[in-house]
Amino acid sequence: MDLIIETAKRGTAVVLTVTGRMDAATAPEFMKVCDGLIDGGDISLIADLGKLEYISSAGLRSILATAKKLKAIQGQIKFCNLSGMVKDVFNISGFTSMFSIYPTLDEAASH
Amino acid sequence: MTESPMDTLCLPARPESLDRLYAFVLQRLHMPAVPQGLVQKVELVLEELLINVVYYAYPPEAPGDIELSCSVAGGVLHLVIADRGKAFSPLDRPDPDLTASIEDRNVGGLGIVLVKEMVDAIEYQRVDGRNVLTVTIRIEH
Repeated sequence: MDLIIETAKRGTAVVLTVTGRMDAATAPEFMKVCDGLIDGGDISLIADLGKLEYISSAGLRSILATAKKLKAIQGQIKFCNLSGMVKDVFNISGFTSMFSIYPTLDEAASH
Repeated sequence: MTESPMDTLCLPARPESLDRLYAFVLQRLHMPAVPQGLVQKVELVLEELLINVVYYAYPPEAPGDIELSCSVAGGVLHLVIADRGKAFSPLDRPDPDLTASIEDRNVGGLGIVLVKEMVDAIEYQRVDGRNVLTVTIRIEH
């Protein structure tokens, strides 16, 4: 399976439901979707990674690049529903302490 | 340690070769004793190390091959990744600052941090004009 990204408005934020794999081949797609949202004025993003099965450093790079863009314009990207190897990779790379991460989408949306 | 015979696949160091190289190793892990989480770890190690060779080992005007050898024996996966490109040890690069803020974080260098955490042993040698990375991952307890 490749990468599927669905977007939906939730209050003032946009929720990205990410399904599949973020690897060297697919990670640029994540950045493209986020760039489109940012260009359209959406600067509060929540990435729901509950259905993300695999992430490599290429995926981390596209997340970090997006986070840097958002930070520069007082925006933010939050994450929720991390599990399995995605959670491990976030922990090892220090992303867990660098980003706002919530156990559920409801908690991410209410903070 | 007993030596087990290794199977080897040699392909051009190009992005189009990656899926075949991944499959070459992963098909050897299709056994009940290997949990899914571990297969993903192996996938990650392969992606990070092979991508390095595909994109950086050879200059565009002088492409070359990537040689991947693999064996599973005694609950341990052994991988050897070799190329004839410029001498480069991914292990010599200093780790990025994992505590830096979003603004100060460097986007590079995370791949090898992940690899070091996922493997049980990794070693680099420059032998007869080849970069040789030897990786050991325990797949059964």
